[in-house]
Amino acid sequence: MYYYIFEPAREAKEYERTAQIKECLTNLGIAGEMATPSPGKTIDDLVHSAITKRYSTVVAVGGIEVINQVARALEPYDAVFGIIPLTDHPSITQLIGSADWKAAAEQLKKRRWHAVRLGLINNQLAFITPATVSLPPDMSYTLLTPEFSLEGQGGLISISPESQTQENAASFLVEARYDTAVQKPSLLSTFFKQRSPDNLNSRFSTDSIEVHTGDARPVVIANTEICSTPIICRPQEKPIKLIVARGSGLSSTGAA
Amino acid sequence: MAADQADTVIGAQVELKGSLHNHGPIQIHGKVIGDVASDELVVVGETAVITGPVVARQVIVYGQVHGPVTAEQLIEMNPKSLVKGDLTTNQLSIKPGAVFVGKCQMNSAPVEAAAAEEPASKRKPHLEVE
Repeated sequence: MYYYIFEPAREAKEYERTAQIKECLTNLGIAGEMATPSPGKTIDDLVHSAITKRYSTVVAVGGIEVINQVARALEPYDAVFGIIPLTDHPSITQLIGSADWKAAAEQLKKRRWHAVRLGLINNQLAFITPATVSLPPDMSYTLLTPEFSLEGQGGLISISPESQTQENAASFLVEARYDTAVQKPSLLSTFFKQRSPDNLNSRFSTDSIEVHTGDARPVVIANTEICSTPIICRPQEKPIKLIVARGSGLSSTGAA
Repeated sequence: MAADQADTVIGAQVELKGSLHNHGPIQIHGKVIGDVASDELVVVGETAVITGPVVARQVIVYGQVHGPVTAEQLIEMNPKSLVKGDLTTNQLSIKPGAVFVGKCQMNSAPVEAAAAEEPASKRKPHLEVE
């Protein structure tokens, strides 16, 4: 029933953690087939193998890179998607409602899921964790939605696919943060750590979004530059079923 | 209202053109040219300038609105706020220092359920001007 795709361990601590996770899954009674990608077998190959063997649930165990890759590979199929995060990235915590791998493993057993539509950049690249564009403070940007345009300057733009917890829910949460980290350092800021006021940041939901910047800027997903602006983000047509925590603030829409 | 409590927030240094609609609360700190509508609360921050109509259940103004404001429940104008446009609401509060230029239409429906028990002849729209 469960097919686990583990991020390859690189050091002793990670090997130990992988062993702990496997033991935990066995104790929970949800141990299944466990695989790790290699040069000979990519994540796409492993997901295809899981589907061919008729596993109903494919679980990504790892950081946001692995999570995105598994989600992307799983999108054409009807299997349920589970996540055991080995990252404290806030987008993952928000997505599944669990802050650590133990809680995530336990919620796998409960099999409550909700529909999530992956984001699609330029009709090509699917993503489940936020896509970000970082701009220097003097560079202008324009965000275009079906209802409005938003113009600003500098900062960090983040586009996150949203869970479809309600009918006709919007597809993306967009945030434009005034990030002092991309500011040119000044003498004052060196001595006095200045926090950007909260009212400089913008946040809204939308069905689709275009991002235009003064000059081409890299678009980053899961710590990887995947393309450059301008970009158009739309939701995938078909949602995937993602296992989430009960009472995560995300209403479950079914039990797998 | 903290920014993280609002579903939609428009930051202080951005300019929005078009229609901004949300079922949940909206907080504006920047410039909006167009209409703003919420089923709940709209907060117009100190640095906000809205040119266009604002419609919500409650509207709280600290900045500027150049256009009509319609709130089923309450319009509150705080010191240094400016509204140039007509107000339509059931309950209006204008604090000292606020500037209002326009007409005001107060609905005759009672503000609270208890008021509904009063005879119609005794019911009055609620207006508070300090």
